[in-house]
Amino acid sequence: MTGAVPPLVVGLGADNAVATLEAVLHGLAEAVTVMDAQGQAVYANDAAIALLRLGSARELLDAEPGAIMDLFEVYDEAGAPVDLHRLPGFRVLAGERDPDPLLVRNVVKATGEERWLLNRTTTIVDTDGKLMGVANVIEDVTAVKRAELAQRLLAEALQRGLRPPELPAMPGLATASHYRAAGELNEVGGDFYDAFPAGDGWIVVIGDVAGQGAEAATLTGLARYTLRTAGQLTGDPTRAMAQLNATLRGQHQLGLCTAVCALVQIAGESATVELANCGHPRPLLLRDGTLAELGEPGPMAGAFDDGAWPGTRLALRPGDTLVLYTDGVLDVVGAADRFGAERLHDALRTAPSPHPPALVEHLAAVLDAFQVGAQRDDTAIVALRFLGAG
Amino acid sequence: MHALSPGESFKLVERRGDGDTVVLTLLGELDIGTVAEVQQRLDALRDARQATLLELDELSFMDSTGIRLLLGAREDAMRVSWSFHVTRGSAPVRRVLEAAQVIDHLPYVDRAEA
Repeated sequence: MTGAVPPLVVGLGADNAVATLEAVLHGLAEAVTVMDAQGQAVYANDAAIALLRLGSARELLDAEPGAIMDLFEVYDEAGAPVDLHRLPGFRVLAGERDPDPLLVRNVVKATGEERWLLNRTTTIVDTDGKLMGVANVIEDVTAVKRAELAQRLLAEALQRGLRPPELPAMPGLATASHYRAAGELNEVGGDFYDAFPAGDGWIVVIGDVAGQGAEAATLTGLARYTLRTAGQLTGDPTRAMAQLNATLRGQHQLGLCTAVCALVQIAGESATVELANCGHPRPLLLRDGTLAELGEPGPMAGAFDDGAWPGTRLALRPGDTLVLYTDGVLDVVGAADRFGAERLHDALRTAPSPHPPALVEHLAAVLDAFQVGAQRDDTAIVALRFLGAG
Repeated sequence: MHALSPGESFKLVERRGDGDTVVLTLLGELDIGTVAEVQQRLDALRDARQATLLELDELSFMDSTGIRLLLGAREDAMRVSWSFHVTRGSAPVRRVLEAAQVIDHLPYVDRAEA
């Protein structure tokens, strides 16, 4: 950023140039201070005097280099104290070229007032290229930073509220789940899962809302509770999908969600699962070491006014394991390519145990080992095994 | 031909096509980290009612953020009578559109017309 700004050339003794420069700087909304090559302040504009809580420029110009810093507590974004030598201006004086701008949390010791300040610097050289000093530009970005923090906290709180810590115990079924939110704290993705009683069975859902941040978190809540309510009231995965589509289409903005809704009904030694799918990766059935993809997806919910989400019904045998997952699993970035369906199938087929906790743990470990760099998307996995009476 | 530079994961290339159409060619990976640039450009072209063709054939990856981009532009185009079309797309793009069951509903244009 600073690299793009050409060094300011000030001809020595050119009074007109200095006067012109002063007039320009005084009118700026950003705080500007100028230090000579020894770090002594030689100029501050009105905005800088106000920002540094000084009565006049004289207080700054008469102070020892850096003494004004003692009026403030200064921290970086990670919360570590910042001393004078980390400020871009002093890094230039120490011989560094084009240091990065530094964002700091600045607390006025006298009042406790907190500001977020972005410190940038421009090098001042004479016509021979000799360092004459630096101009510091300090921008008060408190409002922006507070809005960003508020959004991050809100998204985190929403996400915590949206993600069940663990699946409820479902009689006749062994279950396990795995959830990992993507990368940065302020990037909340939209993967979710849920399980709840419906009629004489249980409905298990997994879903993925397109987008990130507070908006995606809100849609995630809407999608999850629409599926829960429609699923409980109708006990019908197809109707739950249709309701999810209608609810998302009724939103002011385009909201898209893929999901699988699975109704599991158990009667003694036999069990059935009925699945409906809106544009989601197809659930996998692991049976005696073989793997099959189940059901036919209908369109992603929220995409179009109309659609069909036909249910697929299947009898489960004792020992059958259903694996539901989100596309974040397929899209994990490795050294040369993405994880993909083939590696997922291999990992499930070769898992040491088909028992859900061990299976999910194995898959999570395979994904971790495959992944290179930061995680880009959420990943969610839910596994259910029909135990039978034995 | 356009190509990504080493270390570059995504690129948006803009040119004038036949007639008055602006052609945006997307190269590399379209995901949450790269979609904003395309969204901004599409929004501006929509606001200017500038006929636009989005070329998806050079994408090596696209996820649901890309689907959201395409379906959002499709709805905008219908709402405000904006000429917006896409090409059929690369195999990874078609795979994602197929999985989400939205592949039959996009405003396609044949490449020859571009």
